[in-house]
Amino acid sequence: MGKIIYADNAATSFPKPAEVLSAVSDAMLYSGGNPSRGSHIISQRASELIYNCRENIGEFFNCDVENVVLSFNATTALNTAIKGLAKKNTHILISDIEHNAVLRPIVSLCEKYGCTYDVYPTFGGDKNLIIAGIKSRIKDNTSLIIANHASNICSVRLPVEEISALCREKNISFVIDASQSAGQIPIDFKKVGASAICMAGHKGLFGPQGTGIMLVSDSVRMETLIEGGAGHSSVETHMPEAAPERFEAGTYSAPLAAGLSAGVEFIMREGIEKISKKENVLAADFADEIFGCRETVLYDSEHIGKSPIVLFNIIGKTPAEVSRYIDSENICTRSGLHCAPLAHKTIAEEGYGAVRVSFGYFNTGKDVKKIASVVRKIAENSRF
Amino acid sequence: MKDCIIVLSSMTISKRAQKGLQSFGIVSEIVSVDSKLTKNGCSFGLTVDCYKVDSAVEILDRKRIKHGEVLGTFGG
Repeated sequence: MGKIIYADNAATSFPKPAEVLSAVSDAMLYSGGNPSRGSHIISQRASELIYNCRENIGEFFNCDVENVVLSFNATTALNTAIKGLAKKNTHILISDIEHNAVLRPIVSLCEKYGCTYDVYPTFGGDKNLIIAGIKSRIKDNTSLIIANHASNICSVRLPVEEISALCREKNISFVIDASQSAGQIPIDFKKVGASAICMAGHKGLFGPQGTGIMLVSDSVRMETLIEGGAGHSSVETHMPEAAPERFEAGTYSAPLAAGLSAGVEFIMREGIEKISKKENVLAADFADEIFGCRETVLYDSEHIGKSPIVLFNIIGKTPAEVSRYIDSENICTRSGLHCAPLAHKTIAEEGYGAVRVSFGYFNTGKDVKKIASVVRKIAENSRF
Repeated sequence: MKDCIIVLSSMTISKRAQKGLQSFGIVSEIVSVDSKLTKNGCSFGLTVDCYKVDSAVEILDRKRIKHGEVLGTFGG
């Protein structure tokens, strides 16, 4: 098998920095106790790893350790935030580029608890139009607004600071899905002022799969999604009042937290601007390489280069066929709807999906040329 | 040297408290507090030299780190 080119970093980043691997491995070797479940030395080591993880995340996103809730992925974090903040029989607003990790919990709330929801347009990221679109859709009983900071299929970015300000003015809870933006776009938790910011740990933050984060504001009252042991106050029949333990029932993996912590440290060392610039330039170069192909349809072309993602189709071939051919050349991409049917409907129109190439920090210019040559070959062969 | 225990709650609070005291030169150790001694059941706390416990409590108050009671002597 020849060299494998991995270009599916929007799904999960790969490979991980060496420091992440050693952090996980060292934690399993030396710190395998149950964190916050005792005060013996092995448990204390595990607790130290968890706390260091919170500290690094707090430093990276400008928040306190108590604001950092560790979860298992962005989906768990989003479910916790959405179901913890939405009120029964109220109205919810989501954008037209939301992932299923937002849409499905919302639909569930509507079916079970009498909520209703509306979708606000993102107009390709035009700030003023987005804010006007949200304002016109707010109702008297709107209790929650959700925004996908950065789409997983294109380079649209939502103006989360402005949306947050609007929500504070209207006393509406605001949740941000930062799964694609964390580690790509600087996020200042205190400055944004959202009720919660949820993200995957295993994408732009270079952490292992099995990690996610919910940054939660001190000023919100969020109900719990999962209840269980918290490591203290065991006589109480409810979860503790204070974050982060309020939202962390059960044992959290200290080795995974160590890996996530190392990933965040890596970004702070390398510099988030350096990382995102490299990734975005790779995407722009790839788009340039395939732009001239007659049979290639490039989506959201005016924003290409503002994210590591390029979404395209080849006329005459289904996305799955294209991806299969690309796979056969040892190149990893993803085709389909990318768990984001709303976003596809907004960006790509056709409705049966597209091929997504998403570059990471460890991709190179050679990778771009190789992928582009394969795509051009498929496009040429698809001519009638 | 006799140690007192400042009762806290979660491990996160305890670690934050420990680091807060450390920055003022007060050494402490995180311990499990017997569930019989606290109203909510098991808890974490910090052992601090009893001669320094008043200063420690003041530091925690200044840093707005929520703490419970200070318990007698520990070890010694």
